[in-house]
Amino acid sequence: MILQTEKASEVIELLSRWNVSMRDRNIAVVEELNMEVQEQIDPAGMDQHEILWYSLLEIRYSLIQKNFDDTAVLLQQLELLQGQLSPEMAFYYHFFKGIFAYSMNQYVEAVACYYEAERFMGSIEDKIEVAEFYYKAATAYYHTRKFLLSLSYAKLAKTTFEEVSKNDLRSADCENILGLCCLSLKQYEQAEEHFLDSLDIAEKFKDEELLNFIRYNLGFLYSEQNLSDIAIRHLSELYSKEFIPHKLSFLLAREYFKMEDQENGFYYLQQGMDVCSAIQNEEYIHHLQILNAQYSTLPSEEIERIVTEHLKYFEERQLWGFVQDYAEALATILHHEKRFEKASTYFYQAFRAKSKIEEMGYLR
Amino acid sequence: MKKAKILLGTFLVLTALMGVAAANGGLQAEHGVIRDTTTNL
Repeated sequence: MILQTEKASEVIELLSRWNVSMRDRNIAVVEELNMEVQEQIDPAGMDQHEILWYSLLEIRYSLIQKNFDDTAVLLQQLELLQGQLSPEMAFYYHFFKGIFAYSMNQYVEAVACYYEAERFMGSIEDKIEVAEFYYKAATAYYHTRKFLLSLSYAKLAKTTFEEVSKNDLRSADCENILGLCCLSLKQYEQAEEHFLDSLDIAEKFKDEELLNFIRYNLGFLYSEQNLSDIAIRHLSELYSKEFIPHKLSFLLAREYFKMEDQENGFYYLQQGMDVCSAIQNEEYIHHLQILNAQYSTLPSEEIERIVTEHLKYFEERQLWGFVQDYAEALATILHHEKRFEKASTYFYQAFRAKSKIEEMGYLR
Repeated sequence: MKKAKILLGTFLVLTALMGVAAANGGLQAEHGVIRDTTTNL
């Protein structure tokens, strides 16, 4: 970074080391250098160049610490000085702004920030940073259902990581995204191959955390193919580990309902509700309620009322992918009930949601 | 009965969540999971 300055001052040299430690997620060193920075650096004695770098790294540090209130304030302050940023600084500013938006679950905003950051990529010589950027972009595109873009950024990330680092675990993380994109594009065989490649690496390195992510996604893959038995086997193994329990409960309830096992379906539904309440996750309450209505024996008018009530949540947050899914599912139920006019209304709502997803590709 | 219980539970939970931003667990636009290394260091 800073780093490319010909005659780096002591301050810049220290900030540079701090930045690299944050890039490499080396928490012990990050904290050690943070102490050093706080002790040795006096903003009053810095020149403008040093202050700008210091401000940028404060943002990165607040992101690592998950002090998002601080991040918001720091980003606002720096926004006023945008005109004074060098191209390299501008890259980091937009990159960090994108990470912040992603952390706030604002995926469309994250994509827009990464798009801005990419304009300044030419000034970044640090290939690991570039690979991290591609990885982040792939992640944001996945959550906005831009699967082909996500796929292409995940491939770029994987290639770049492999060029500059022997850390296969980052390649395995990329394989995971590639698997998810293939899954969403209904390329199930390829999705499984990517997940299994990732699983091999995670097993080799005994990375328990990554193993859990991959096992969950394999369960999700089998669930999407209605292979309920094998999906339940994978997901149940994780349940005892309390790995992302609100999501696991949702998928397990869905599989049991598909198998017409109401008892287990309701069991996991209630478990999901309890977990969502405990961790304050509102989104999955709405998923679970819609699931409950979909597999109920209630009259279609009542199902319609419940689904539309919870659909509002996804509309308000512009989660158009789920609006499309649930509007389509409701339309199908109403079509089978021969309520064709109503069914048409919801098929149109699904179509509109799909158009919204497409519009999100037109970057500003 | 179970459905009624779940609906009541939802009402209570949603009430409790009013004004609380999505935090732990986070909002996800897809059901798949990705390791978010930058903020999970």
